[in-house]
Amino acid sequence: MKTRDVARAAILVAVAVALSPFFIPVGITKCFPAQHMINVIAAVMLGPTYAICIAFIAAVLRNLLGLGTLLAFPGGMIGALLAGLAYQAFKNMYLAGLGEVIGTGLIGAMASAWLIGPVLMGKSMALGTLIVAFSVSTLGGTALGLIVLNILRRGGIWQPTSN
Amino acid sequence: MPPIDRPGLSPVAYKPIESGWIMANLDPRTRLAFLAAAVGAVLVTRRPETLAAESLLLLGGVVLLKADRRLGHLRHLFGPMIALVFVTGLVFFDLQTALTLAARLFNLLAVSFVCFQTIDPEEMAGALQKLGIPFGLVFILSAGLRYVPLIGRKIRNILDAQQARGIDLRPRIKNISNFAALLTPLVVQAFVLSDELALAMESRGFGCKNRSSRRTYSLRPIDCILMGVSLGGLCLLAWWERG
Amino acid sequence: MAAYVELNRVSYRYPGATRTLKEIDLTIPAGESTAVFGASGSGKSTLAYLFNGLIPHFFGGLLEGTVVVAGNPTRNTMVSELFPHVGLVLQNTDAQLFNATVADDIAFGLESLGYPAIDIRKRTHRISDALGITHLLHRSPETLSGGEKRLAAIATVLCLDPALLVLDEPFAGLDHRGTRIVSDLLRQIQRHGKNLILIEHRTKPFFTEADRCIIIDQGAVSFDGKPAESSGVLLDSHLMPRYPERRIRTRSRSDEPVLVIKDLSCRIEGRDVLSDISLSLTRGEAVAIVGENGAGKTTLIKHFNGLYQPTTGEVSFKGRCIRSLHPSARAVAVGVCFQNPNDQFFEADVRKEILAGPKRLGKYDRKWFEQICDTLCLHLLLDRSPYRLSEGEKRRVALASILVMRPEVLVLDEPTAGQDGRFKEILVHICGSISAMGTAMVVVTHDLDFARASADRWVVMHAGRIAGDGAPEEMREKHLSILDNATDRPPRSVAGCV
Ligand SMILES: Nc1ncnc2c1ncn2[C@@H]1O[C@H](COP(=O)(O)OP(=O)(O)OP(=O)(O)O)[C@@H](O)[C@H]1O
Ligand SMILES: Nc1ncnc2c1ncn2[C@@H]1O[C@H](COP(=O)(O)OP(=O)(O)OP(=O)(O)O)[C@@H](O)[C@H]1O
Ligand SMILES: [Mg+2]
Ligand SMILES: [Mg+2]
Repeated sequence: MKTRDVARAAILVAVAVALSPFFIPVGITKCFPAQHMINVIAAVMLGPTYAICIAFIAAVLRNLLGLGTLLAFPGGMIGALLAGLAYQAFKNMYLAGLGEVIGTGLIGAMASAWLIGPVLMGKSMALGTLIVAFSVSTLGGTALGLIVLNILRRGGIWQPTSN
Repeated sequence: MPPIDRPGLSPVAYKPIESGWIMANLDPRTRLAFLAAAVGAVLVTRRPETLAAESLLLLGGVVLLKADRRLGHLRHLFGPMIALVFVTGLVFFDLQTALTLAARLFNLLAVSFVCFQTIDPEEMAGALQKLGIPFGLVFILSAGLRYVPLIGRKIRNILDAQQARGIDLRPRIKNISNFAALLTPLVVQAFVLSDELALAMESRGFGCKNRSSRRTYSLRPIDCILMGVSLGGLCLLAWWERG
Repeated sequence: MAAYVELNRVSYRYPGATRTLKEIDLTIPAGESTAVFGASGSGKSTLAYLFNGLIPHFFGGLLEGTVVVAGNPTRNTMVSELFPHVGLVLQNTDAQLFNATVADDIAFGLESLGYPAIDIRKRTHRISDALGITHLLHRSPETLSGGEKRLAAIATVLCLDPALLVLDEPFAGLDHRGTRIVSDLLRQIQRHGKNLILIEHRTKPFFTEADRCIIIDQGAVSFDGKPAESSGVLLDSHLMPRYPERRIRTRSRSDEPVLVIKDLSCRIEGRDVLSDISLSLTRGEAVAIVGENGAGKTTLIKHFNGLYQPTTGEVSFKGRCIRSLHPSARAVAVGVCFQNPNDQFFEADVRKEILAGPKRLGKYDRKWFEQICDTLCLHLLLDRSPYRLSEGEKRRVALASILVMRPEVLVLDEPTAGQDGRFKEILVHICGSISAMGTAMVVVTHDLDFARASADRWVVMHAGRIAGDGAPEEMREKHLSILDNATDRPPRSVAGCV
């Protein structure tokens, strides 16, 4: 059983990295959905431990290949963890999606803001701007992840584990 | 960054640049320690003068590594983020803070970029394994890396196949409902591939307990000295910035 | 001779599925090589998984009867103990080669067994010498050609010196040159007294050299005997296709060309992939594009429907440059059905899948849809999930999803790869009906018999150029060296690997 999960994790990492140049322009910002989509899928299919490992390794690879920056670490791992925990607790993929959005859009953005400059943490308005900017990607990615999961379920490729 | 229309078009984009000479003779663990110390150094920096000095140093590093062309790829990621932080700083604080924030972010991104570019992915895997990270995790890293170009090729094939039947997949917001046509076949095939990969791993003894390694690394005195120097430097800087 | 493998009344069902293998009795003496044939989905790969214990240890499911390999009953022996004795080479070389370089891949099995680094290095060099792949050791599998990948995949298990080698469709997707290299290697391995089990759809390569031939039909052994005696059975069970005689129609000069390619060349990353290609297609014509792996066939057809912009030259459809049309209009002009049907499926059922294109363009024509379903016999599949179809059915659905756009030119990229004889017969029939509707047909293929049965004109490609264009027989004779008989380097000895 374990071999199968490791193999699945490796391929999900590859998908997250290979898709990472893919973005959708949204107004003045850009939505990079890849990592967040994989976070939701990994959280639902493999659980929190694998999800966070996948996010970590994907971030390392993106940095190694010059496809991402240091912010890929807080921007991917926290969401993966929360999504995985949410799915483990409630067995509901929409709540996993919510976990990802909160984890990345709120906590991830705060962690990144703290890395950039602790002064940012002092002013809620400034923090708010960053949070909104960070949320574009996670919202798009989570939506796409949920759509894909739904199609997989209807097509009979994957079944959610029952409680 | 590969052209927006066709993510993954260029397999070159997935290859790390050659940086061989700079730290080629060091144990990968030393390079990891160096990376950690460098990132730490940027994080503990408080004074504007030190920040500026670091920025200059990093720019030098980028040129030295001949990585500026590659950095150009990254400006899609770097540029907007630095601009956003700068504007936020300007609106909610003052010019001085805005500049400090932007410089700090630049340093942070650039330092990780420069350091990561000197690490060869396979050595990274070796280093992690030597550091006692479980083989499963290291395997995910190396196999993930191996399959990135393959998945890139798959993405390209799917884009071609879907566009051949009239489904518009150019990354526009109006096409968002069509993206399922890219992502679903991709994820489905990723699962098929992962099942086959699991078969291949299992039939070559992935689960075996007493695994050996074809690569051997050993810490030489120079490695230990350099590790000590970089950690010492970090502590010194932290103390200086505090004082 | 002692039996190396013994299967005693073996039945198997995958978890949650019906019985895949039914009461198989099989004894393979040491040193015998066996070719296994069977229709798509008959259970050949499943049989392969029995030998190294993947069934039952990895797949679970219900295994009845006993499998004994090298004296070990597989039910009580883990895969990790069996794999040094039984080398399994999967059909998909991309899965088989999962490390950064070929050298790492060859080393993986040895590392699992805990060999010291120095022994690993020695063995890697010995095996790569024997197979002639030393120059590939430091390359990533991603950069290898199909034939090279296959050799490397075989090397990854051969380095463990297994007594039994099981190969799942080793010739799939290879051109004659790759086929030749792999079958030479198999011959060498055979000569060294190893057991070979070869699972195949293609009946030409290596077949006659096997000691024994087994045919699996719906999970049960339906023939077991000498290869020489099997050809009648193979034909009768449609494993070897039996094509109708084709009368070649030459095109009349008066026909208006639909698609014209003029002086096309294409550079990708500084390499000339295509140069000086000129070609024209008329209504109702049936053309086959044949040539070696990497000759540029797929790249060429990606220019047909404007997916690629030619570096120089032009592709025009009825007098207009194809790139000047809107992307959706291109799909209506030239339909291209790519090699892998799984690249297309994203809807929950076949009906939606076929209509995905027309629905988006607002061009749903019910009558035409019904007609296509008739031609391709799809009525019974319409409500099923496309992912759950057999490979042949998937291909038909993919073809329908292109045809439903009513393209005037239809291009099929390697439609027969990995398919059994029955599907090939059906496909020749389908191609005939499509041509009869007036669509210009292009098939890209390595399978010359199929090309002969489905096309009136052959375009032979070699190294990015058109080497010849004309009637099949003429082309076959003129370009023997490209199509059939290229002189390869002499086979090396695998003496070193034992
Ligand atoms: N993991 C699985 N779970 C359930 N059913 C399976 C699984 N793998 C294969 N099957 C089913 O078992 C049957 C035999 O499959 P198998 O792959 O052995 O066929 P095959 O003869 O190798 O076909 P092909 O020539 O297409 O490779 C098929 O009907 C297939 O749907
Ligand atoms: N996007 C690309 N980037 C780099 N090289 C490419 C690309 N597409 C094709 N090539 C190269 O162009 C050559 C022709 O490839 P192509 O896929 O057209 O061959 P083919 O005739 O279809 O081969 P096969 O029979 O194996 O399918 C190959 O050497 C391939 O490596
Ligand atoms: Mg099979
Ligand atoms: Mg091709």
